Amino acid sequence: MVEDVLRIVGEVARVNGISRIDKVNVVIGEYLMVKPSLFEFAFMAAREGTRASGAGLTIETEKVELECPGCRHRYSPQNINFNCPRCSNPNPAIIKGKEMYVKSIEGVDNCG
Amino acid sequence: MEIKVMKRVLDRNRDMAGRVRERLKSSNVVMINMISSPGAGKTSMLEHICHQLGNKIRIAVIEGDVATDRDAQRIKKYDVPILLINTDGGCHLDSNSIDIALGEFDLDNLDVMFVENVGNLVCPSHFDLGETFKLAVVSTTEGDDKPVKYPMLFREARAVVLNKTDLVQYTNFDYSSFLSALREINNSVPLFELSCRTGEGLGNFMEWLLEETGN
Repeated sequence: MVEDVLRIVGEVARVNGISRIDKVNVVIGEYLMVKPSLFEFAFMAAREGTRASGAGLTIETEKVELECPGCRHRYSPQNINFNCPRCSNPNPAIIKGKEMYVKSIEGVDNCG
Repeated sequence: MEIKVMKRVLDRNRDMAGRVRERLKSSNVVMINMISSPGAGKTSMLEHICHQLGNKIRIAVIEGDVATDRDAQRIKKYDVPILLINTDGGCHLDSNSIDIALGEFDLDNLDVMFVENVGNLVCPSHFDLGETFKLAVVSTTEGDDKPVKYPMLFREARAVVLNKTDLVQYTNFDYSSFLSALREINNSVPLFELSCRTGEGLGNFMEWLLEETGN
């Protein structure tokens, strides 16, 4: 995952003429259960030798949001039980919190 | 300057998984992604599957292993097409490696492709390989807390296998705690309790497997 983040960051920097990347802003959905501190540790190790070698990392976590296919109730689960709190439907759609994405990068372009 | 990106990290893997899925579908092959902790019994299950079903369905195996070929060697004696993917330390397989591996098989002469993922309950759950379904394998010796600690796999698996039931008396595995957590997460997933060592419970699983793969 860290390698994919760095690949995306490198492409965006290249296309936009960013010569120095100062910060990478990532959003991690809680459904993935990726521990931010471990992800940051891996990022710091993997960034060496890439366009982001001097970049910091900020991680924003995104809460899981579900939608009941029966009563259309939208809710965030309070524990491992995802059943709809209104009608007990056991198969809600995960509409948020299942993705990891690069939100933005900050840096200096070739013009300084 | 800040540049908005908003690009999903797993998209590339997901796109390739979609292509793998199409490829398998056009050859009418069911692919099963087996996920477990190291030592839960994936290879032992595959040995039983090859032994018991090898004359009923056309089976192939992709073995994902961090470094060695030990699991692949165990399957080789069953005379099924097999390919080993060494991940060189990587903790999971991805759809690109599966796409490349499929090129080594005669897909039109296969019914079921088993993928033994790298032993790990976290990362393999994140990476869609293009499989038809995931099979979660756990064992009594690992403890009863796996569903609570790794709910994503148990939510997404088509079936759960609880292996090493013959050893439960020597462990502190709390069956009711395991079952209640599993049912909190996924109330409808079939659970197969079995022992690869004694063979107990394997029959039910094999019947289900044949039915689920349309054979």
